[in-house]
Amino acid sequence: MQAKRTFEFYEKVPPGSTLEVTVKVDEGGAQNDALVVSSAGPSDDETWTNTEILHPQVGRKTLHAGHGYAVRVSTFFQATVQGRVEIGIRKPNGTHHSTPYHWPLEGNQGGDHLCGVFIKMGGGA
Amino acid sequence: MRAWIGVALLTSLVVSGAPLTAQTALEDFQCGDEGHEDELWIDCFTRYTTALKQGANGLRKAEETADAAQPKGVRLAKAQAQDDLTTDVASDDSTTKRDFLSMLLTSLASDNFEDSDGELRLAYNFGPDAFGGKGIAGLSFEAVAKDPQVFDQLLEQIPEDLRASQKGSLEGELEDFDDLETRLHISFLGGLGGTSWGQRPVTEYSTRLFESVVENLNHEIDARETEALREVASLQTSPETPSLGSKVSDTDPRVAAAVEAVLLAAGKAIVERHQALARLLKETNFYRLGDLVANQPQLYLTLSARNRDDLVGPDEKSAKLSYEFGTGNFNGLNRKCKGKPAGQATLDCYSDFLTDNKDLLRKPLRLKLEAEYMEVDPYSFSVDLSGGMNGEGEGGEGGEMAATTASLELDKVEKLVAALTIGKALKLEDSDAKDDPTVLTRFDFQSKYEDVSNDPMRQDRWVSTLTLSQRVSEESSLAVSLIYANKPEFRGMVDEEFSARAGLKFEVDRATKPKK
Repeated sequence: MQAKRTFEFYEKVPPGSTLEVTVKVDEGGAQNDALVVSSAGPSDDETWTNTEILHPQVGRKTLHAGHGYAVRVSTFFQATVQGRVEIGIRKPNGTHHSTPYHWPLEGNQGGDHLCGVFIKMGGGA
Repeated sequence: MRAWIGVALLTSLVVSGAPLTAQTALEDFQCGDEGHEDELWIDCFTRYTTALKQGANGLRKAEETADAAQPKGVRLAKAQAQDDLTTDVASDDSTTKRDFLSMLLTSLASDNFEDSDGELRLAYNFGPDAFGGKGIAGLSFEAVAKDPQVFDQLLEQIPEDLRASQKGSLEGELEDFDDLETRLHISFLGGLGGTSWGQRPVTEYSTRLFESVVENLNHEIDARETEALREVASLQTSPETPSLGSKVSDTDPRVAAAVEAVLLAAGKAIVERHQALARLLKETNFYRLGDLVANQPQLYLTLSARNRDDLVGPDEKSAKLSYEFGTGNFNGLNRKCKGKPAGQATLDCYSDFLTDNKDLLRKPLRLKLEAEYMEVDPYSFSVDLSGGMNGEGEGGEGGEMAATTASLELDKVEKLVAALTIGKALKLEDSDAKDDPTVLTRFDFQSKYEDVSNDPMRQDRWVSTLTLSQRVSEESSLAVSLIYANKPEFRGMVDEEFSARAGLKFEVDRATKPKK
């Protein structure tokens, strides 16, 4: 589902689900930088570099009961770019929780894009 | 009771300090204020971050709100394909190709379709990702169904008094895909030292440089963002926290104040960090890397075919190969900085390279070599004029027997073109501060040879032009060109004639600045 907002949100996420972040853009078209912050503290945070989330790579993180999360993805265009940032949550059974969000990337060298999600866990929170 | 604990927890976040600093960016910003009475929490967050970004960067392009409706071109192509399916299967090769391509166009119909000026255009682009970053830097396929027109040279064979009526009749026989052009364009990016071809080394270096810049970002800014986001994450653990998809106005005012403070603090910290990184990327000349890549050796191959119905004209094929490069390219950077570890060493080496090669990068020498081969198939076609004559010319009283057919026969034509282009800025506006200084003086040289030996309508030619451009004011430049042609008729008009084949030409361009 195309995101309508800079940041979107997920609620009632089943514990044990996996956060998935990827950026689909031509190699050399953009540089990306992502951060996942957990309410559990810095030891549960995650930082993903460009190569870790540039498609076909996917940044993955298991989401635990009782925690809350905030995810931020920054993109900086090195060339004229058309692509998308995708953030989704896969439940322990492998299906998607709600619908994955995607943000279109479109711009020229020197342009940038900012997006993310907030996550509230279900059951046991 | 639990609700009150939640309120106390949230209120403590406000009292604890950090979130209150959010208000310093947009002092009077409030979620759910006048004009936004039905606003959701998540929408308030977006409105705030957008306002912060606009405040620093000016107006931003609005986000796309809806997918465009299916283009008209798709509908037309589908209708055409349906028609094709209900008509007889064509037997000749060119018609089969046209039918296949029309079906292909339809089966691939998507947002890549455009319909303009009577043309249907389908274009697909594949970046280096599609080829694993090795060798091919890009591939594009384009198919254009042009608005078919009756071949002019064929019309000229029809007696003038019948031409208009015959033209109308022949146009009625034309179909949508009777003039179809397909083009395949492949680009290869020069690899290290020009000995290999591939995007991967450039991408790897680019990522290392980007990460080095990120490491240089003020750690306090990074830490502020992380902690502000942690407050939002913590908010998500409290059952008393309203859903971010709920209305601000539906939230208990005491809880709302705390939620607002946390969200706005996070918004401010995120935008602050994003913009600080954007600034740092500019300050470290990160984007100049794109210029170095643009100057890398590049090879382009374009293959095209134009398939036409006999009524429209002969079929054509062409192949074009181009090689270009500029001095001050990624190869030089790689030679200097290869093997430097990510971090300050990479950043320092990059900066040194830009400084050491400043003149070369600002005034690169660019060279381009092109070779093109074109072939127009032999053509033979006759139009039956008897229908259009309505019995006239059948040997009327005392009259001559009028022609009942108009025929046109053309031989195969081949053309070979080779061209060399060299350009260089010689003098720039005296400003070190500008990233993209205005070029004051530059020279361009082009030499082009065309071999059309088997075309009776044309002659082989070789024309060379050396141009010196000088900017003379803010909005005008003077260009002096020395022109030499191997045959006088190709030299063109000159202002100062040296001989039948050579001369000088002066031009004042008041509209544009000299090219870089």
